[in-house]
Amino acid sequence: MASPYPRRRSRRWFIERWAYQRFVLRELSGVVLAAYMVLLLLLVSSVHAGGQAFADHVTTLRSPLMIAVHVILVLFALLHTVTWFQAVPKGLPLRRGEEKVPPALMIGANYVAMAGATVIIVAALVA
Amino acid sequence: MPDVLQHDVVIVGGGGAGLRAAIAAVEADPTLDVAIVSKVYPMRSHTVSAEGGAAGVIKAGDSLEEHIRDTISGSDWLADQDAVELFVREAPQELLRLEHWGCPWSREPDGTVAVRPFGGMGIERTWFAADKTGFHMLHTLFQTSLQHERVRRYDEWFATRLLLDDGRAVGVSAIELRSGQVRAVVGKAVILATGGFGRIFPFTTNAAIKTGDGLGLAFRAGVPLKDMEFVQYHPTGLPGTGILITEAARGEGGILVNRHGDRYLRHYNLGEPLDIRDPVHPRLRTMELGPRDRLSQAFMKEQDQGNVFDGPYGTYVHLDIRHLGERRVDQKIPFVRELATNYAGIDPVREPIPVRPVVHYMMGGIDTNLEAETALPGLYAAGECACVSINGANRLGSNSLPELLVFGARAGTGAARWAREHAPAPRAAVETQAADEQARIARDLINRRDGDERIATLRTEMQHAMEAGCGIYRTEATLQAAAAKVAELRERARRVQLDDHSLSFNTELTAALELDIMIEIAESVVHSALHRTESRGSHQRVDFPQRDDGRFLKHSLAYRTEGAPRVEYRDVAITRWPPAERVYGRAH
Amino acid sequence: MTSGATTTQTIGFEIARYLPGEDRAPTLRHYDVPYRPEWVVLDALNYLKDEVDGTLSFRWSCRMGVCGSCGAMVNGVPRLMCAAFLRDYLPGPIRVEPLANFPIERDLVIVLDDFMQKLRAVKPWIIPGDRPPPADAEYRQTPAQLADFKQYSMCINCLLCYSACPVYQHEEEFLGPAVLALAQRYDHDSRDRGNSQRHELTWSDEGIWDCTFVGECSAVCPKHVDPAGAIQQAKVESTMDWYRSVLWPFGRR
Repeated sequence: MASPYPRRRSRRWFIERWAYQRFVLRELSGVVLAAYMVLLLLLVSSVHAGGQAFADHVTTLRSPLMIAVHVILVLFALLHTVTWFQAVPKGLPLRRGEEKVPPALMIGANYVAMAGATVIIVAALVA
Repeated sequence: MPDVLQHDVVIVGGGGAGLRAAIAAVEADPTLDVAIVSKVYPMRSHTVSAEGGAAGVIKAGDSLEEHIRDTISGSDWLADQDAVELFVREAPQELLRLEHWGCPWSREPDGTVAVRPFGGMGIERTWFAADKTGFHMLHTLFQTSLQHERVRRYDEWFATRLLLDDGRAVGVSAIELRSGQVRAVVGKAVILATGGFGRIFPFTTNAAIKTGDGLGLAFRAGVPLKDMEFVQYHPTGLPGTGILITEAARGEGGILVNRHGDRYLRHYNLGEPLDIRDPVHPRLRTMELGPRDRLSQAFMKEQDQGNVFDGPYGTYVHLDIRHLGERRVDQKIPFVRELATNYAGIDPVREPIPVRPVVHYMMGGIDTNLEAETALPGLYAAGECACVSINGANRLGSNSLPELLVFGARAGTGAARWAREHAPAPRAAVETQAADEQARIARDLINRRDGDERIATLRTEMQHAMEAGCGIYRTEATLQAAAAKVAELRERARRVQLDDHSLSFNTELTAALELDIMIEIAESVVHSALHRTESRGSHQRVDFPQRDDGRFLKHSLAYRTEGAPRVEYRDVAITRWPPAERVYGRAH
Repeated sequence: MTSGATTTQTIGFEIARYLPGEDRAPTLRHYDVPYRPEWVVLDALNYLKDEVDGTLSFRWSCRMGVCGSCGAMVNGVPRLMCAAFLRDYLPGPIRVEPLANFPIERDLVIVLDDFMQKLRAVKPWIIPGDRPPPADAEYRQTPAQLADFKQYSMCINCLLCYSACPVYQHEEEFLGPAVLALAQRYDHDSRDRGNSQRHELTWSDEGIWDCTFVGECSAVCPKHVDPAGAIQQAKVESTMDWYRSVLWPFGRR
């Protein structure tokens, strides 16, 4: 008996659709944020070493390359934030009786919470 | 020789009735081995398209007696009253079983099942799962059937012929679509549950698969087809596509208006309209909640008077549900909104929906008794393909879903009992019949090169002949014309030529087999209609406008012959409800 | 279909053809079809089958988006052919191919054996457990309890989600979006007590934990079932369950 044509797998699947590219970027944002943690730890360690080490570190951070790297970091951090908040109503759908709490409301609440936390942290740092 | 696959009970059709029968058979006897042969996967079956609901007496204030009376008067007294009584009594238990199996019925705040009003019913008794009741019932039945390991499915196998032995039904020959091979699926009992045959008409709510295959199998084995002249037109289909807009739209309060903004049903002895803001609207058994036959006939009269709209896909009237409001529409009839938006291009929350009558359901079918048995020993039938009859000359909306449960279950239990009491057929007998069938299909269809007729041409000609000659209003002349045309098509169908000579998934082959069956069934419809010289329910003869209980309080029975079908009659079973006038819109 | 406005305009189609035993691989074949604004892709295919080429093979039935038969890739995106209007693909051509990620039976007909087997594997039926149904009455289920699973009961098994899922493309053992949403539907039904019987499979690496939340299953779902949501919800539940089992020394709950 004639057999069916086998299912196709693509090694380039992640560039074949914009949705898949978006997914890959989202996953990558996690890696990028982990890399930023390394940068942060280097900063902490330079503070710990004190004086000259810290000054050297600050000079490095001022280089155009490092500024570019940070711009990219900020973009990925934003992407990570947006996609993470978008996932919240998917994983934790809330319901009031029969009505679903609108996803936009839940996502909005997360942004409000983030803004609040940012204000508190910045206030604490300034004070 | 074709393979022989041995089972105890063979069910043809994997929709609501077939699945219910399968579950009933294995529950009746867990040692039985049940086969379901279906030309589509079960979840593709047309039960899936039923929208509005399923009637069953459960609420305080309702009574079995009331449901029986509504059904009998709805049938224009052609239903068998013993059958209706049994059906009404068993329907609530069946709907409860579906509830226990997980059907997501819509609910009241206290957690009990909710019911809604429906056409021709004197009280709210229609259970519903929003407006996808059939979809949810089918998936519940299918998923429930999966736990029964002794239910073996042959998905995408097309049954071509009943196998007989010593005067009883012992299985079917079927084409496995994937390989194109013909095989014998054999059992001690056979249940036909293949649904209706709306596709013999050009404009229908019915899915492509509804070609009456089971009726063809039974008819060719000598079983009569009962009450075939009764064709239900649903009053609200979308022009062009024929997609159904459920009666629940009117049950929730939707109104029908003509091109002058008039609620025209008021002129057709269906009672007086109430204001749409009146808390009593919609009033039961009145106006928009009249029976389907009367509403579709009213449309035709309005059309004759020029009171309907004219569009690119024919005439129409408006079904207006705007006053229900967005919230209620989304909660109770969301599918109506989805369908109207996608297929009519209008949002019914803001604009009225264009609708016209459309072929929807066949009251007629394979003649069965209360036990779902046919005249052929070992052969059972249930669902739309069967005619018990509880629907008579006009089915009430929301009676067909409980019907397929009640009689599906009875067929399953009966077939299980039969299978325990009978021996399997000798292998040689079924093998030979299946081999003949394989040879016939190869010779006449797959390998033929000298045919000169195209399937689509014949099908279209048949459909238009049926609409012209055998529609909502019929006369001797239109029926004779249809009879002549269908007889001609029957001859021409012998010379059908396929483009596709291959074996794997040859859907042109199945289309040819379906066409052949549809033409024979159409012929039985036309001749049954010709012989019934009265008007009753959905069968309206312009030349015989009165109901004639003296001559026609009878079921018609069409038997296959080499020529036109022979039509005989059998008395309707009347028990406690003597024939009377059908009264809508006022006390009865 | 009754006759609509006639026109001499045509629209091109590129349709994947494959006949097992004859063809080594699927190839695209070009067809021209009369353009009608009210037609869907399925109408065009039926026109071709009826009038031009009877060998063209595809599944269809209800043509109103509820039977789930007619899924195909239309211009590379999984769609129900009965809901894809020609007017949205002007000026054409329209490319129609069998659903991705499945073996091809013939032309646009895919093999769905794998899905059917997985559907059964998650036990999609009510398991009453210690709470048998009440005699001669319904289970009480409030509208809120119904709303808790209703969305996940709307799946028509059209398989568009499997075609959109890169995980299913690469890992055939993955149960996949529709089946996992269905398991969630029964897990969340107040009548059901069968969660523990399903979770061994559905909460495994072949189940929810194989999902990387690409989210395309929900994007292509024609019935808004949101299988991606169902799976993420199950992940949260599975995680909470694990924490409970670790942190609660005296057995769960």
